[in-house]
Amino acid sequence: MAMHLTAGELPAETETLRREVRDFVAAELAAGNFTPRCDNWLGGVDREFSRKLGGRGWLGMTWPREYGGQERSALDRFVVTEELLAAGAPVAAHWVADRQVGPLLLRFGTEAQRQRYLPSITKGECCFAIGMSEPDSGSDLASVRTRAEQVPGGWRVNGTKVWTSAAQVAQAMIALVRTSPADGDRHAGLTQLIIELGSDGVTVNPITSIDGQAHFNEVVLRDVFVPDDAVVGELGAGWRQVTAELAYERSGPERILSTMPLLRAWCRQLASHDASGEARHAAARLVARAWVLRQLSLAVASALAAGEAPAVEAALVKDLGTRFEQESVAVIRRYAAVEPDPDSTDDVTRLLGETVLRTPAFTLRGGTNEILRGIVARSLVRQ
Amino acid sequence: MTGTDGLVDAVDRLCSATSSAAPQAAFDKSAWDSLEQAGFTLVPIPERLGGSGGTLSQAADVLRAASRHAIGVPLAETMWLAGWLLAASDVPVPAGPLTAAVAGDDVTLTRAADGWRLDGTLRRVPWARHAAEIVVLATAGNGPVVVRVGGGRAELHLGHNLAGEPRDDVLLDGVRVAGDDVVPAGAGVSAEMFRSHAALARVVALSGAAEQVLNLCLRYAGERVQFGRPLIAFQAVQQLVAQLAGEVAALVVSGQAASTKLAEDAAHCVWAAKAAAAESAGVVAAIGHQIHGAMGMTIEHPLYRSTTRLWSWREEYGNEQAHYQALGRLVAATDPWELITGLDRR
Repeated sequence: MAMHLTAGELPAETETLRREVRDFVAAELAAGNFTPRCDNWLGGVDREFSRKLGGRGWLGMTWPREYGGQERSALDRFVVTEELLAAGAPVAAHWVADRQVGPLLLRFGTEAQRQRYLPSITKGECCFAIGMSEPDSGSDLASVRTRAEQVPGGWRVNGTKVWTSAAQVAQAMIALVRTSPADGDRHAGLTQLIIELGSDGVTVNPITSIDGQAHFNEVVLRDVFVPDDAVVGELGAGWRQVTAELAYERSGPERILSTMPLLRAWCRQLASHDASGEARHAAARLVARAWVLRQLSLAVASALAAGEAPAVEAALVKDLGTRFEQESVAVIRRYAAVEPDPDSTDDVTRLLGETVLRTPAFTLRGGTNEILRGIVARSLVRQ
Repeated sequence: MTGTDGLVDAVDRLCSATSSAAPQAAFDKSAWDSLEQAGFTLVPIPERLGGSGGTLSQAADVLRAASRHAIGVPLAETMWLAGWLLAASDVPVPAGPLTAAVAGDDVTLTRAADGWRLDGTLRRVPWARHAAEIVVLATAGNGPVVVRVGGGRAELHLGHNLAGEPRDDVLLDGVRVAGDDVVPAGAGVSAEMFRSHAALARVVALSGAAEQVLNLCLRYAGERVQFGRPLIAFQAVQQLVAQLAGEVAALVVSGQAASTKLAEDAAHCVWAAKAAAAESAGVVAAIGHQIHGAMGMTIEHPLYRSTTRLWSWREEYGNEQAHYQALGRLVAATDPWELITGLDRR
């Protein structure tokens, strides 16, 4: 068989953790500390909220204790993240650092890099950005043109990164840059660098999205000096390192649950408004699909936890999950039959108002679904 | 029982050796005999009752592997329906192909001088004509009972599903059953639980059929050359293949996940799995045929053996409409997130 997926099971003890997270979320909501929003893992930057999570040991929770982690299982982390996503909590400030940067540094980083960044990430104090896309490099990531030239003691970096989430608050960015010419193999000569965003020559410009919010940034690098010790992993091995991260990036619960706050709000309304059978039926369809996709995401998370590299399966989760997110907005707007309005006091109307304008991004970010499907299909036939 | 991978490989080997020659839909006796001899027909039945003592998950693995081969055997009916009804009621499970049904309102079980008498009709009972026994979940006065009707004891109206698998009406009018062959249903046996078992069996079987469609598509798209290139080199075809693979992955994992939870009361878990599977099955069959072109529409090509099963099994024991209706009542009363994660805890 072309794919190897086995349903994952959450150990019984994760239920205690789930209860703790739900209690925490309920208390934060009751205190008015956040408003549930869709897509809040990208748009919801709240440093204070991140620090509270860090205080509870819920950031970097799988990492070694010597770096501030809790040495808990990947499935514990799965439970914490899915609960926060389903609640629409503002988790964007630490999202990239917790999901990607930590695992990257633990796998490829130097001891000094780990000591420098990981403990403060686990406290919710250090925010990271990831600099991959460029104005001329979207889905075709290997075509990045930001280049680093060797200078005494380090590198001089020039180029522009775009769609960089959270760069406005981030301390540093992991950038994929070209350190030597492609020479036939375009995947060679790429390197990951940690660029401190406070460095001379770095300019962060907000990019205003169609919803009027600036979730993304353009990061312009002009003769930025990056010391040798900021190279992550092997010089020239950036492509391999980046693709190793992708299974984490693509299969997580955030590819399924971005719109769960809207679905929950709508179902609350259905319950209180004595909804039509047709609307309940439509809601049931979304819930059934969400159940299936969550099982799929859990299967990939379990494979990752077991040390496997389910890249194809992860890409499939992203394709199915993000299309489900779009579908759920499409279905709910049909039945809610309101004019979406971000200023509304009605939850469903507000959430639709905030979410409709973000919906197209679901199948764009993390590699457009069409490109992912091409990768999936070609690798399945090759196997 | 052996580990999962060994189990699936063994079933694969057995089915590959026997399945290709049999015509579509006929009862494949040689495949059945091989599976039975190897102990694969009663996987989840305790050893003391004649089974192999495996888990529900192992049963699901065997059923999925066998379903990939589109062979005509009542595996789900034997081990997961009839076998379950008997074993759960502490009755040893006999050898041979079995089938089972729930007696509807029009079926009655009454005392007769020499035992019991059945009246009424069981509709579209899978494989009834080949079953050594038809096991019926009925009601007798004070509660549910399991009734064993020997093969050949009732008149049949032969029918079949779109895949040609037997789906026979069993005319019970006046059928006599010995006193020993009516036993009180064991704890946990109910019509609702029967339907959960049956729906889940179809989810698992659908996942195997869907895997086979994907396998056939991957092979065909890699080999078939048009415009000087294999089909898979076309981006339009790649999109279809990946969409297909996604639905197949969803089917496989939901079948596995639901079968780990069947032991307890997890009806809505099965509703969700069967509803979603019924939808996925349609997508899988449609894409499978689109990729194969006209060639896939002939009985010369094996594709139809899997797609006709997808189109049949998605309707059996409740299609998406039926299950969404049931799930919809819960959705209006429960936070969907509680429901989605709560399903997992059962």
